[in-house]
Amino acid sequence: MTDLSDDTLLTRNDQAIESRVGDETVILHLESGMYFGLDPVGTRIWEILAGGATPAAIRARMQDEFDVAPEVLRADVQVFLESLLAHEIVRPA
Amino acid sequence: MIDGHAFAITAETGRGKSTLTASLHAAGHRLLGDDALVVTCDDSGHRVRAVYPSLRLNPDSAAAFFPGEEGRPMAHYSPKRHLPVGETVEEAPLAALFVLGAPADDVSARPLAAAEACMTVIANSFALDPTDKDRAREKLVKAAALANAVPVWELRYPRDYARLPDVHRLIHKLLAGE
Repeated sequence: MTDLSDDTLLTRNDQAIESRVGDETVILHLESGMYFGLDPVGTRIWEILAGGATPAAIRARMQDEFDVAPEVLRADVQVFLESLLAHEIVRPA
Repeated sequence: MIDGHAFAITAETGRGKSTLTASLHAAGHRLLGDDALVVTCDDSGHRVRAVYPSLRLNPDSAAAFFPGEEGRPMAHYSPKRHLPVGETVEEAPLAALFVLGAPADDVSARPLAAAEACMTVIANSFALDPTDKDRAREKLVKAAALANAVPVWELRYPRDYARLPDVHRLIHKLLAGE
């Protein structure tokens, strides 16, 4: 798996299609046929990834929008992005 | 259907879909069917119709709700039997989807979060060709539309025939918006 650094530019895999459901998102990976559900916070990160973003940029945007301790945000965003990478929902540019 | 509201029940195999359906029918509520449902959507909203009107039960449930009815065998690989269905409904607006959860000590309902509801619809729908990407894409859009429009609840209850009236009452309340 790709090592995820603060400066790794991530882009959405074009095989990942989405559908909004309320304030959440369901993603279908067309190649694998797997479905992924994103809660509202995950949905916001997915939105930020629309134009490509690094983990550092994502954390900066999320820190502006959510009242959360930086170390908690860093850990949670890292886990989330690593999961998206592992399932090839996003790719390093 | 209850009080004019049609609802669908889905769950993993063996969770009691047919038993709950039969208990509702035995209690006087009209039945669409206990097999697959076809869901359509137009300007008037989501509607459901049964693939065919049916009621298929294991012998113990059949004896509990339709004493004296032998029915006829469903298939050589299953102990379930076809029971005669009473008054049925061909098609109706869909008011809710209930997912039967694992057995519990008490009767309760939990609304599914939006994404969970959408994925539950997908998981419980048929796909003639799972590798057909266009169909998969279409299914995602339709499942999301359904989850956006129709409430989806998880029901948990003891698998005890004596508690099924409590489940009926809870379904009544949820359909009435209480």
